[in-house]
Amino acid sequence: MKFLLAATLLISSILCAADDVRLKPFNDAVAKYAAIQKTAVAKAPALPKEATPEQIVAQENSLVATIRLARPRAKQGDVFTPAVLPIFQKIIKDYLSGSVNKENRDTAKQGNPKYQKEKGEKDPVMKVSAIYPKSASLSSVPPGLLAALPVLPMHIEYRFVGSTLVLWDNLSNLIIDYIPGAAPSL
Amino acid sequence: MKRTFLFATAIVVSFLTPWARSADPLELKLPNTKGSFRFAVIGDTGTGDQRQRDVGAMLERYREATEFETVVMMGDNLYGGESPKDFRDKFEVPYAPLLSKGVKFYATLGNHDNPNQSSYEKFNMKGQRYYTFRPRDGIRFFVLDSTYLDKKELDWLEKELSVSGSEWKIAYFHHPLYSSGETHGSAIEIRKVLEPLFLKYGVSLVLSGHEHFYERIKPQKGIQYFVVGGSAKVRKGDIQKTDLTAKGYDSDNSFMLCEIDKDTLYFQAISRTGITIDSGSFERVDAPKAQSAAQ
Repeated sequence: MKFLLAATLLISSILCAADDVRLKPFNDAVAKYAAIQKTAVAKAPALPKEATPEQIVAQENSLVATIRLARPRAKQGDVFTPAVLPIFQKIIKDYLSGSVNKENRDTAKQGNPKYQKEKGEKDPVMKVSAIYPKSASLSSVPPGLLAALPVLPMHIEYRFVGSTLVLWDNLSNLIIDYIPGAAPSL
Repeated sequence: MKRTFLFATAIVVSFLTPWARSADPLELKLPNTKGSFRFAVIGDTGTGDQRQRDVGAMLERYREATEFETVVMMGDNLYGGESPKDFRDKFEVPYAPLLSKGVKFYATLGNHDNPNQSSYEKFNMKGQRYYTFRPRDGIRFFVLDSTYLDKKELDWLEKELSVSGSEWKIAYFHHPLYSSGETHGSAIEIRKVLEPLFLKYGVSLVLSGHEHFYERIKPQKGIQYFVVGGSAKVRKGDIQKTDLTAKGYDSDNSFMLCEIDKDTLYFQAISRTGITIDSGSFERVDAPKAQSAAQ
């Protein structure tokens, strides 16, 4: 019994280490984006913790301009590279597919623009460096799935739009990258 | 200048909202005890339409009667856009009478809210997606972003709960852990990570929105849950028959008043037109672990 447990732990740690190596391009790309974001924040008009709506909008506009300038040729797959796609797809499948994951799927449908749209709201246009519109709803992400996905720096989030997994900059509202059909069950 | 704008807006709003001019006496069920802490609860507010303004006007009538100084917001603070005009039309104008009297609003983020709202001065979030505040000795609120409960937020919540010595621990966030709504229902996956912490550290009251109605849930494992998400929109007939409901109201908009006096919390839910739809009281949860941590 002890041998089995030790073997399981060893195998899972080897698999985790393997995933860590395979995820390196993703983590590097995210870190690179976070650095661009940080520089953009430094250049933008200062945003006090008690800001006016005008100050919020001014900062967002500045961030959008600076980040787009810094990533002029950014395209889908730059961050979610082909090498890391299977890892994300597997994690998402583990948490969202099958009858045992119904409650996780229900969570990911909450606020998901495909399922919850208020009058007059439009779906976000899936394009790298496009703005995720403030009029569109934001999906919940199941806490268990969030814990399983690679950890992101502050101000970068995972969200779902339909079955697409979106990497989203919550300061500028820019779409950083996305995986179409990442969650076929949604 | 800002005060003048709010005062002028308050006068205009009072003429536009018939409920504000009503001479009908208020049906105040709270004891309104001198020295108690009183606050209002509103949810899913950000439409900017007449119904929101009606609720805002009724809130002001009850503020005059109870002198509450705090309003907690359950999220979906701004629907359909977040330009400076949206902040005015969907928040500052409907609540101008309250803002002009110095009432402080504390917001949480809903699925229709951009996280940058956390920097808006009148939401008092101080740039944080999740935060805590203590309006009075012995009372602490824990305000969460339930759309994105990552490990960092959960670790933060556990740390804050564990060090809080407040007798009254109150959590609020957008998605209800228990709900009889047909449209959404209970947020079960979120419940799995939050409820154990609430139980471990003695949270007495949990408030949420998301569902566009009022529902008082029968106490769950000793915790009192309310859904207050009908303060601007209403989903008529959305409350399904379940074993969860202690009292439900889905035929008009609503808000809730609370009063904490020592170990008792009194509540009164009120419709847009001033009808009392629910009222009562309950005692706080004893929290020996949290108390010992504070000693």
